[in-house]
Amino acid sequence: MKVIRVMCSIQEGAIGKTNIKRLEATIPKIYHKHFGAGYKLVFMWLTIPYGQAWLAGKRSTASSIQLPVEDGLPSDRRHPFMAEVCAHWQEITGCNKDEIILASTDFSHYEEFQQVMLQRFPANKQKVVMLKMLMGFGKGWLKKGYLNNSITL
Amino acid sequence: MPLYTVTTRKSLPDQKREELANLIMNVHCGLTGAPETFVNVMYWENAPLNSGIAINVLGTVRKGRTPDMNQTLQNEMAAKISDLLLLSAGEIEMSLFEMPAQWIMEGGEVLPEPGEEAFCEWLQKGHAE
Repeated sequence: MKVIRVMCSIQEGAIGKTNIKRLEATIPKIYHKHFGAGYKLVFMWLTIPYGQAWLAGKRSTASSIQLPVEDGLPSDRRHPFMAEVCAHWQEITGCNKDEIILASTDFSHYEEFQQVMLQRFPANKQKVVMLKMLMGFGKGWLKKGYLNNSITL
Repeated sequence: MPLYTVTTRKSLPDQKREELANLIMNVHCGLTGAPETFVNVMYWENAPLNSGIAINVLGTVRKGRTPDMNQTLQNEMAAKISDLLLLSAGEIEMSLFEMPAQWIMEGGEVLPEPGEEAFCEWLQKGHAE
């Protein structure tokens, strides 16, 4: 079973617990339908406080999802999967098509991106930041029942 | 896409966030010709940064532009940020991370490759600004 971390950045207060649970139940089904049952998706919800996300120069109401797939997956398999995820996301959350940004990158590229994100921090503090983030996700899970944290460290 | 992740030690005033988001959009679109519609800027605050650094700007951009263009984009953006936030060049970390456009869906559609926006029917019909 391959574990996939799904990073979802959402605006504070935009998606309630019920819909988050529905997304956590629905998206793995789509993933399994397209790519087989050998994957376990772990959702990590990053909350963006009001005023900390901007789109086209205005306050953003969009959510962004990083949902990686196997390296080298051809477009004729990648794109139908992405379209189905976006459609279900809209249906569940009630957002419009402009309020969802989906990145289905290759796994290796996704891991590289996570490393680049970590490298924003000093080398001697990266483990501390990781630990702090993970603890934040854990606290969020205890409080809300799903892994969540704020992008404000 | 692009998504610019701005990381700072302290919280920026709301007005500065707005000005910086617009600056990033204007520089990015002015140099690359990309539509403004999809320029995202996200602020991570209270973060530890390397010694002497006040702001880290990581731009996740579509793959396919020349290295010269990407370098110009970084240089110009860093210079303009320096002016806006009254920082020296040495206090700004600026980098780009490229991602194939075909892996991104926004507005319900797969993004066009850089430079192909004019041939992208859905973008021209409903999303171009």
